[in-house]
Amino acid sequence: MIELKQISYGLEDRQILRSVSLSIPSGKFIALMGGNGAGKTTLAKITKGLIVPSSGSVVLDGRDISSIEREYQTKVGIVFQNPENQIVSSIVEEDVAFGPENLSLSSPEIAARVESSLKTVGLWDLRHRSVQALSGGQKQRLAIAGILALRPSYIIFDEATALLDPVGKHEVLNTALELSKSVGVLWITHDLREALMADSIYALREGEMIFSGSVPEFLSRGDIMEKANVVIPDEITLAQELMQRGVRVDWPITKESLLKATMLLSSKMSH
Amino acid sequence: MAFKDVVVVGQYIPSGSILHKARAESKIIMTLILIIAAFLSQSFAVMAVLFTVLAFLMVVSRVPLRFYSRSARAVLILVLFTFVFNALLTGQNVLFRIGPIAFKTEGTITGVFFGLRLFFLIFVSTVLTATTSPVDLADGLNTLLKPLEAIKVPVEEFSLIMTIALRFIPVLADEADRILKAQKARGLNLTGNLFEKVQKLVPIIIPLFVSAFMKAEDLAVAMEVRGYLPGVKRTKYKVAKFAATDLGILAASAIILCACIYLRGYWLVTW
Amino acid sequence: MGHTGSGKTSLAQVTAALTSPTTGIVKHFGNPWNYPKDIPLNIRRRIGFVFQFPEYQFFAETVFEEVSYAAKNFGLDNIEQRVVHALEVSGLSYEAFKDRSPFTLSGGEKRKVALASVLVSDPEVIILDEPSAGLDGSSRKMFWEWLRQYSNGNRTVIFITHSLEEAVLADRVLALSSGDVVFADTPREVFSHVNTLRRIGLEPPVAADISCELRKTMQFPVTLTIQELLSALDGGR
Repeated sequence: MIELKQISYGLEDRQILRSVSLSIPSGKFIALMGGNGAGKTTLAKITKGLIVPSSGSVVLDGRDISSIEREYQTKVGIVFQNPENQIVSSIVEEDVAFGPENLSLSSPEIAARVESSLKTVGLWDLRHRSVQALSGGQKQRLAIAGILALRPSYIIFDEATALLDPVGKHEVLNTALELSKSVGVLWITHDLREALMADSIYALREGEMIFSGSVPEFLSRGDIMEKANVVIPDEITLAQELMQRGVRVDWPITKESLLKATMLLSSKMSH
Repeated sequence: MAFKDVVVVGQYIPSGSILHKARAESKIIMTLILIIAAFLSQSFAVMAVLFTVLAFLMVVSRVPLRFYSRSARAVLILVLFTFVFNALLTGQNVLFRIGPIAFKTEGTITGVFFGLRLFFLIFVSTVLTATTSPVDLADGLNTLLKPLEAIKVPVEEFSLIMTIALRFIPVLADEADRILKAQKARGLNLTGNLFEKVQKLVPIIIPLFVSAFMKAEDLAVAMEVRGYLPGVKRTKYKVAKFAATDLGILAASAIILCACIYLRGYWLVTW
Repeated sequence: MGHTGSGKTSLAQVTAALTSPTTGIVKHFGNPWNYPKDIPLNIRRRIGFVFQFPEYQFFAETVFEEVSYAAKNFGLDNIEQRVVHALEVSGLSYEAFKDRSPFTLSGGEKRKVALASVLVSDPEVIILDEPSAGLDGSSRKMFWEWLRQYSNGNRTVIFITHSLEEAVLADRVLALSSGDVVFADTPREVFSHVNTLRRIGLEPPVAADISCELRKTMQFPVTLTIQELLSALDGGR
């Protein structure tokens, strides 16, 4: 478990984060929502230990991360927005090897990690390819593999789909969901559609945490969604409207559950 | 024409040939020997030996011939220029005339020889880059330069810089292309004298620099996240083994070198 | 609209006379373009092109210089007046912004300056490549509201998008797949073919999708937005 306890960051007159708390249990998918400039990226960097908060503490599996040595820090991985800027080498497998090489692992150990990481993200068959030949979604999955090769217990995805096309977004989100079965995932986004499968959801606005709870709870709070500046997909708007008309919408919200609910509504109307 | 067509980085053409499988180090040594031999020699006999070796390498590489001819086309102008320059200006005896232009005997022969040298240089390095992936090439140079570490040359860092440069040159070329188009849409018209042209490039160069700096910043963080610490010993993913092929290549190079030295006095260029 | 690699950006760039086609005829405002020989500066003035993430092409020290760049290049007069107008149309105050550095603005302000730097030449047609990419909920809403108002006059707006929910706002929709035009029609016609859209890698808007399913079992109109779908349901029979 990673726990952020009352984190503040920034100067007196310009506070980027104000006493923010959040926890990422292992094996869970946690979504962090918020608009541009809400402080999401700062929070991500503090969680990873890249920047030090002005006050508050980050506790990783019971130990304060400021006291943890280097090898231990590989326990938390982070994937950024632009896949292009995270890939070091021009050949797929060589790039995945970059992290383990830094850890001075033996050659067979590196090979084992490259193989398992690339297989997890579904790029093993493309291992000899040039990075330049990959699609956006594949590049971002390669960036994920590069992090997986460090064997992290937690991974932060900082708007990891923002620059991708719908196909790429789908690939990366699915990879993260699959990973969350074994590692703790913090998924940062302003697109509510990507947070629907989360185990719990947090919302940040101007440096303050304005919500934490379950997804259905969040969806019932239109005021909070508005404040958090999230992009509300049509599916959610429809589900809300249907519920207001007294129709049950099955959870999770999918095309099927929405279709079932609309059919119910239309038969209700015709009676 | 797009920027990426102008930026010619030795293209790697994987074909799985015996040359592809050989270690970069032996191929670099062989290429160096061949180039030095071609440049030191004044003898057509040596050139004949070298071109025979080249033809052999091209066949063995199993890279399509049209790929080689494409790289030859790129330097054809240069070769022709060298030839004409020599043929017209060197010597007194006229070999033949085309209209008012007199081709001199001595110059024509030297011109042919220089042209052959240039072609040889291009083809031999194309064989190297076509059969060796950029990453392997960087690694190979790294190994060969390793002894320089004794006099405090940062060979390891140099090799990492090469890897990153190879990775980002095509990315930045794409970027430059995009920026050029965007400014063209805003009325940029690259005409005028040299001074005006240079001035007009400012709106392309500044955004390109901004983007490169942003990439560098992102990449530095991404590398830190993946455990990179400058100066700390890194291990290698692929420790290439010194195989019989490499021994063959080195032995052959030595034999070729001896043959060139032996033949250095035959069929000299000068009269 | 079209998936990545469908050719939508190339088509848009040919339309704006930024890329020459290999073959075929391009007519701008009725005049054929003699490509690649002619560089049609006048056409580029009349067709504005806003690239994806346009803030990445900033180069000037001040917003004024940045916005006036295109106007100067096209040799237009009354530059200051044009900059004032372009900034205003894009939703920024001239006095407050003209001397600021474009690089230090917030994300939303940058996008507006980038827009103004294209609008400054007063183009009759404006092409936008994924204009709402990277914007959060409220900025996105503001942008679409702005675009609706802007296109209300006699201007033509062409926008490239992956998101079909945005495409329903258009008067006419062109769907590309692997370099071929699959649809060129009204959104209502195009979005009634949800299966074909899926086949070419596009996810239809949920309202269109559900109305299509409902039509299998009952009489139901093609609905494009949630509002339309709900009022069709509420209207009942």
